[in-house]
Order: sequence, then C-alpha cells, then structure tokens
Amino acid sequence: MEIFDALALGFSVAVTSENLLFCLLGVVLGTLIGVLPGIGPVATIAMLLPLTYALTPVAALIMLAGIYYGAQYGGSTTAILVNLPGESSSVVTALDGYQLARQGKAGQALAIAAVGSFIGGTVGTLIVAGFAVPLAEIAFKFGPADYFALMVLGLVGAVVLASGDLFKSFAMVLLGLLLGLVGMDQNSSLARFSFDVPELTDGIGFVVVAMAVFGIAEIIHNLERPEQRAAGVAPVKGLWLKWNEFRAALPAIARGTGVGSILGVLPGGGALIASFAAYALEKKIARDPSRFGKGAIEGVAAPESANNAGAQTSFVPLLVLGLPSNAVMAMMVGAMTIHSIIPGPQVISTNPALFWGLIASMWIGNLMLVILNLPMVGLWVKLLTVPYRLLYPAILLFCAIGLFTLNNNTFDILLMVLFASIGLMLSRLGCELAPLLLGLILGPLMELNLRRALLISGGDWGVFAERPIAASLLAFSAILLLLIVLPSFRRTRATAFADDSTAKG
Amino acid sequence: MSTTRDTRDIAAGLVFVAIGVVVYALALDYPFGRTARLGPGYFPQALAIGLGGLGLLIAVRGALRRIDTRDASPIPWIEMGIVATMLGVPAALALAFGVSVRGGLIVGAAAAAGLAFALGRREFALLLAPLIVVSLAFETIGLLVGSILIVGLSGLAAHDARLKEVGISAILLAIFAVCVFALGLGIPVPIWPSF
Repeated sequence: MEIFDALALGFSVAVTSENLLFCLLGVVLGTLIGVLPGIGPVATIAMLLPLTYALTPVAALIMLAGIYYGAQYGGSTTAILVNLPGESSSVVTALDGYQLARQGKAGQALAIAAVGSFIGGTVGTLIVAGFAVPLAEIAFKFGPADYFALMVLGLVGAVVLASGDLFKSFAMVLLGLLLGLVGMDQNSSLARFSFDVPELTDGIGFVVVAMAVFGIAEIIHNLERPEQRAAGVAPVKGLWLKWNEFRAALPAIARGTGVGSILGVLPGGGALIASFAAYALEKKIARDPSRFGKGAIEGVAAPESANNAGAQTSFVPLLVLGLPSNAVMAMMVGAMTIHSIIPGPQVISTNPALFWGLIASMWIGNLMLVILNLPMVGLWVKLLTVPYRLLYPAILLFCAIGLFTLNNNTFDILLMVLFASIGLMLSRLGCELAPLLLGLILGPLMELNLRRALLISGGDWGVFAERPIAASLLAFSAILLLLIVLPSFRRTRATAFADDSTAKG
Repeated sequence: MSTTRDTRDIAAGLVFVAIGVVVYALALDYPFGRTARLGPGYFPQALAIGLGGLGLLIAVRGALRRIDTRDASPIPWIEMGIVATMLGVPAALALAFGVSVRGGLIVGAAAAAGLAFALGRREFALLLAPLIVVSLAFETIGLLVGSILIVGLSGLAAHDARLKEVGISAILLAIFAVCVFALGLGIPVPIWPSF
C-alpha cells in the first residue's frame, strides 16, 4: 500500500531529534497560550514566524502546527478549572466542564477532555493522511475559473459558518480583498494604492494585519475592559477514568470527532465552529437535555473531541488546494511562503518528506499533548496565576521586533499601529476581524485567477457556468447564501452561537 | 421592553460606504481594461462598489431595525476619531502641502495617540506611542532602549500596574530581546543608541 510507505516516510522525518524537539516546543507553546486567556494561536504564530527563518521548513511547519492543535488541549484546562475559556474554541467546554469541577469531578472532566481530544486528533490526522492524495489529484484538474469559484465558496463559507453579523462579515471580506490589492499589480506593474510609499508597493503583509488585530487591538481591548478573573481554581483529584465513565462518554467522543472532522474540512471551518456544533448536537439528541449546563460529561467530551478533530482536518484545504480556510491556516500559508514553498497540490509530490512529516508529527504531537496535559495539569494551572499585566508588554515587544525582523523595515510597525486602531474601531462597530484576514490573503489570488479565467475564455463570463467544477462550486456558494435567508437556518445558527459572547478569533 | 434604532450599525454601514467611495475614486485612476483583459482598475472598482453597497444596506437596516435597548451598543466615536485622525492628517498634508504620505502617516499616528490620551484612552495611547517612536527611530535609539521604551510605557497602561514591577520587567525583557534578536538572529539594528 502506497499510503503505508508514505506514512513510514513521514514518521522517519518526524522522529528525527530536531523535528521531535520542535514538535514538543510547538505543543508546549500551544498548551501555554491555550491555558492563558487573552492570547490566541494566530497572534502567537505571527510572533514566532520570524524565528522560523533559522529552522528547516519541516521543523518550522511542525512547530507552528503544534501551536494550533496544542492550544485546543490547553484551552479546555482553563475552561474546566476556572470557568474561563483559554481559547475561544473552548467556550462551550466551560459550560459543563466547570460544573463538573464544582461537583468535585474536575479530574474526570480533564481526563475525558484529554482522551476525547486525542481520539479526535488521531482520527482527524488519519483523515488528512487518507484524503489528501485523492483530493490533490482532483485539485490538479482545477483551472483558473475553478480556483476562483473555490475561493468564492471559501469566503462565503467563512462568513456563513463563523459567528457574527453576516452583512458586516461580508463587508469585512471585501475590505480584506481590497487591502490585498495594495501594491504592485502583477499584470501591469502599476503600483496600486501605494501613495508613493516604497514599502507599500510590496503590498500589506498579512502578518502586519494579523499581529495588529489579533495581537495589539486585542490587548487594548483587554486592558480597557478588564475581565474579572475567576475566583478560584477548582481542586483536581483522581485523573483516572473508570471504565464505565469512559464508556458513557465514548459515543459523544465519536459524534464530536465526526462533526469536527467534517466542519474542519469545510471552508471557513476549523476548531471554533466544530466545538459549537458538536455541543449543539449533543444537546439536541440527549434524552434529557436539561442535564446540559449542569455537568453533563458529554458536554465536555463532544466539543473537545470536535475542536481537535477540526483543528487537524482544517489542514486539508491548505495542504491539498493551497487555500487557507481560517485565520490560523492563513498564517501557515505565510510560514510556507517564508520558506519558498508554494502551498498547493504539488507539495505532496515535490516535497513528500515535508508533507508526510507534518502529518506524522501531528499524531506524535497529539500523543505528547496527552502526556503534557494530564499528569502535568497542576503546572499549567499555576500559570494562570501569572497576571495579565506582566504578559501583554512582552507580547507587544515581540510583535514589534518580530515584525521588524520579517522585512527589516520599521514602516511595518507604523502600519501595525494603524491597523490595530482600525481593527479596534471595526470590532467596536460589531464587525468580525477573521474574515478581513482571509480576504487579505485571498485578494491577489482571486484577482489573478479571475483574470486568467476570463483571458482563456476570451472575456466570456459563461466559463463559470460551463466548467462543471466551477459551476457546482458557485452553485454550492449560492445555496449557502440562500440558506442564510431561510429563517429556520438563521435560528439554528443564532442558537449555536448564543453562548458565544466572548468568542474571538 | 424599550427598543431603539441600531445606531451602531448605522455608523458601521456609513464607515464602509466612506471606504467604498474613497477607494472607488482612487481606483478610477487605474485602467479598467476589457473583460478579456481585465485592467488594474477592474477588480478594485468592482470590490469598492460592492463594499459601498453593502455598507448602505447595513446602514439602512440599522435605521429600520428596532432592537432591545439592553442589546444596543454605543457608537465608538473615539475609536472612529482616532482612525480618522490617522488617515485624515496624512491625506490633508499631502493634498495641501504635498507632504509625503509616509511622513504624514507618522504625524497622523502621533496626533491620534495624543488625541487618545486627551480623551482619556490612556491604554490606547500608552500602547501605541512607543511603537510610533520605534517605527520612526529604531536605528537611532537601538534595540535595548527601544525595548525598554515599549515595555516600560505599555506596562503602565494596566489598571493594576506597579511602577517597580514595570521597571524590572522592562529591563529583563530588553535583555532577553537583545539576546534573542540581536545576538541570536542578528537583526540589523544596533543594540546601543547612536546619535
């Protein structure tokens, strides 16, 4: 079997001492920022990007990926023990997890969360491994029109599946696409919207915007509205699960893994939406839905399995098509470009060691995370006593210097100041910031493919209806848009996000 | 239950309309091209029209919709003023005096930080001010002083800030930054100030 050879290659890459070390570093960092509220994977990856210059591409991607899925493990610890989601994808875990902790069952809740995460992560990784090659073969048949349609679907999906007001999210996508057009036009060599600033002819880097909105604007927001930290940390005892406890949670873990795996692959999907959907599903099919919110173990098992499965499978569109489906994946595109790897279906054949090494490392990383998170939970909890006032100046400093390191210019720091202010204004106007970042990444790509498609067709828009792939992708986007207009879907979406008052990208 | 108009959405919509109009006007300078050969003006003009249209939709919806007073959020006037200053000052300076946009942006950002401080947004001002200084004079003040400046000023922004603690963390983080970025990665910025 080819896939076993491929996985063997992957493991041989992943278990070299250097790659194991950076995998460990990534998952430790991920757990760390997962436990700490106020800093998420996007800002962390943005800060660490410049440091990955010094690494091999494989080691860099392994470490950055570890941060994302590691954060899913860490987030649950804070959610369960102090009723604060360390990560937005653990918002729903806090609902039942903290109740369990108050009933003296913190150990069981943590153990279920870790086991569920591991199962979700393992299945998610297997899906990435199993589906990447066949999907990449389809991707090779994609023409420019199909790519354009796919990006339309991705942006529509990102808006529909994410939380927040639809119209405003669409406006943010368009704003992001426009920002992406700043700089030298590839066809005419005309510098657009650059106002004779030489640095702007190269375009606005997405790291600048990501750091600005998910790093700096977030800090200002946290400082201006200090959250009251939870009163106390629930005591942890008895991390071992009884067999019947595990068996009771197993169906929920399986359902959560399924929901998470599917939602992760979809454009706009990922860990966040997966955890909400899984929780909603559990509540819907439960014989006694009133148990939820009062310490139902399924309410921990399902979303935690789902967010990890979703975190893994959201790598599929990135690795197979070269298209990021959420803000974290957009950062991964940046990491690949730094190492001059163009993300897309060709990576599997031109760089198999990188591709399979990354996949193998995901499973190894998940294994490390179970060990890191269960026996060492006490250590992570101690971290919560580090006050925010000591953390944010460090984040600010590393954003500023890290940004300078990327291009060796100080103009980027000024741009970061500008976009932090714009980001804060827009978020106070009730707009989601993640769609902006996706638009920024996809802007130049969309224009390029639109131009190519119309050039090939001789200016005939019909090409988007004639090519079966493009037509079906556009039709699917239209259906998604229609669904929003239907009142029943709108209600379901509203309920799914009803508890999502604190969720951020 | 008392209801109100969604004034924040009206403001959000109008912000998008304003961006759409400005971008459209700027993009008119770029050739539109033909459908078979899209010019550099085509995509930005189309997007700007879309953005302006959506903004109008959001504003109108906000004006028509009645929402519960408890759910209503205030219009972020100060944030909008800060952004308007940051972008308006360079635009005005460039149009009136031909000042370069690069220089205008620095003046605008500094003015915006001052505005934030004057209007009682200490956090905003204390976080952004050191970044503006560093972006202007990183090569002159050097990595060590720049780092101390960033950590020292921003550290004072927390409501529970302690002076001694901020000082110690500024020095420790600056040393750490020098070790990692200057000695480790070798970024092209002097460690010490040079005037």
